[in-house]
Amino acid sequence: MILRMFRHLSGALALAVVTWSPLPGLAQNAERGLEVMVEQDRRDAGWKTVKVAGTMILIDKAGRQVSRSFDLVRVERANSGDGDLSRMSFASPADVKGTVLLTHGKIEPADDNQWLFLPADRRVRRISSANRSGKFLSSEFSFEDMGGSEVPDNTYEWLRQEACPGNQGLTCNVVASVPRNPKSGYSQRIVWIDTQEYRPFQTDFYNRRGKLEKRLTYSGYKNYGGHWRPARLEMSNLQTGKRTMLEWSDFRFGVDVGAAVMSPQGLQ
Amino acid sequence: MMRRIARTGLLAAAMLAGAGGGQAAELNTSVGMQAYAFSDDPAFAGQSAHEMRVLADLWGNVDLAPGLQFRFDANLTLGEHSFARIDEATLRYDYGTGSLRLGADQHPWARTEFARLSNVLNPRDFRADYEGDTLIGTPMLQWSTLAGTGTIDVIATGWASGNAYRQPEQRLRPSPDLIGGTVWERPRATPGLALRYENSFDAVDLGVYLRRGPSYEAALVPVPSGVAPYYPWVAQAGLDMQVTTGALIGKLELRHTTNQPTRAGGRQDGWAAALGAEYTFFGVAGSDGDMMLFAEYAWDQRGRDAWQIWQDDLVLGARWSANTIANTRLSAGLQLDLDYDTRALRLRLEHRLADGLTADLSVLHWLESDPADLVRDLRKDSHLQITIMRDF
Repeated sequence: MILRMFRHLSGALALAVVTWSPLPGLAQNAERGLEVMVEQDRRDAGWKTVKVAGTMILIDKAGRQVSRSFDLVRVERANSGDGDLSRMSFASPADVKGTVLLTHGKIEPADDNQWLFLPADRRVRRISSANRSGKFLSSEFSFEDMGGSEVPDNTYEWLRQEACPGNQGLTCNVVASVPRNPKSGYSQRIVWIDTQEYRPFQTDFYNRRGKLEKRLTYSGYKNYGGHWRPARLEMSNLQTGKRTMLEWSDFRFGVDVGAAVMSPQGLQ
Repeated sequence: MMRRIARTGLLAAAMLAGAGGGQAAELNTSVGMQAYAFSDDPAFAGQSAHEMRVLADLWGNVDLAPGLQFRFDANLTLGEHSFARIDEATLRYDYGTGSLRLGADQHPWARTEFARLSNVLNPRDFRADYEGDTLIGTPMLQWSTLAGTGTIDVIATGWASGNAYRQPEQRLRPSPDLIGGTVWERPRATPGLALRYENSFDAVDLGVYLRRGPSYEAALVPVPSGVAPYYPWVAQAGLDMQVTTGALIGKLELRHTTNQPTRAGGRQDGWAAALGAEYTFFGVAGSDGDMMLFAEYAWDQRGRDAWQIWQDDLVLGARWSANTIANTRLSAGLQLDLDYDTRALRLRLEHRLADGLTADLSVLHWLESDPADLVRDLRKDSHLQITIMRDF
């Protein structure tokens, strides 16, 4: 999920330019933007399964913090026509402990399939995943951000090369992506991806009105057998001043995940 | 009753001892208080006007060996009328494509929110809530296995307890004459069997089942000291499904039951069904909040002869969710009995006061109560219920 989440490169602006402009260079930029994304996807493919511990820290404008911790299991589906499977099991706070969110991802514009297990009533409930722009766990991440996206979900436009945000020693390709799904909460996303390892370092999210709303930064990258993962993500809402940090630890790739574990019937 | 509580304590001690033996264990507790306030004087002499309870829930698991786990969930309610309940106490072996379970367990198969027709395997605890939504763990031997993309469950039951009812001096009681005894059509030890297949086909979640065993939609039959719950031996076939498409959710439960008692004193095979729909407006008025509108209708072929309150009933309502850290939710619903002149208003407010601390306030107000309706004895029991829980 993590790297997929980084691929929120869009560019409503880019799409508009490609559509309207007679300049051949812009078509080349669209092609180059797509190439960057395809290469990023290729380099990260083949991770198959991963387990990781996560902590989400929500910080309001006054600096007050609340946190939630969870374990995440993710399974890559070989068929490129399917999205990935994920199972998020909450460990804290105490009143949500034992809650499990199971997601069977789909390619846009189809909605993901999601089920929620609540230990209090021991029931598995199918929930609607149509609320893409809603806040995930009241954080600054939206459901759309957490669900991830595949390369065909967007159109792309290469914008420029410049020093990577937060790491001036690296050069980044700056690519804009425009969601193909009209239900997306964003008009475009702009992402900074380094030219060496194709790791995202920053994503800017533009809302439907075209205003810059949120900024996501990535830090603490480590290489796990060829798969780069950041230890920390920070999403800042530039309009409200709220922030959410997502900290990852104990990545384990290639773990055995039984089929029953990722089925809705296996949640009980 | 105190003996049951003591047994629960011993169970907890045994589980903790296992946890201390070097095995991986997880123990969770919740404690809280619940208070009722009634708007009217009791309908029957001797009933106490108000009630306050201390609630405790202990749940978790102990890993005994690779794939082998003991799971438990025990509840204790202390107050004027204390009681304990085991929701789960199972030994469970998982082997990748399935599991074997032995012990007391629950199977809440229902998809609807009010009628819950498919919750057929477990007795109900009317002490915890007056509608019997709370299920009591019942002895089972279960085998679950993956079958293609779905799951098959084979469940053997026996030695079940009956439903648990409130004491005569408590309010929210289905009948003032109800005694604690039970009448079984077949002995409690008679083995029952259930088969269930469950799968998810894209937007559709589907479950089908067959079972033989006692029905927990108990009839009330006269006995020398009053009336007692009667559990007929039935065969049931059922279907439950949910369709989720965008912001719209549709639910259906369908059930056929043989040998059902009727209020007229006879027996009748028949169908029951429940239909529900929910539609959510996300991000209402530019906020983070959602507004869900819901409707649910339940029907029983026995009509006025049915020994259940959801025989021709409609619930209409709305729920607003703030989607903030406090997880504030406000629900309002109107329950209409289309056979009887019975109507009730329901309100509920849920709010997280802090991490691990939650408050739940609910209101039931009877607008009208038909003398022939099963809920007639609750006519004076409009109430406000407040529950504060602390989770550890």
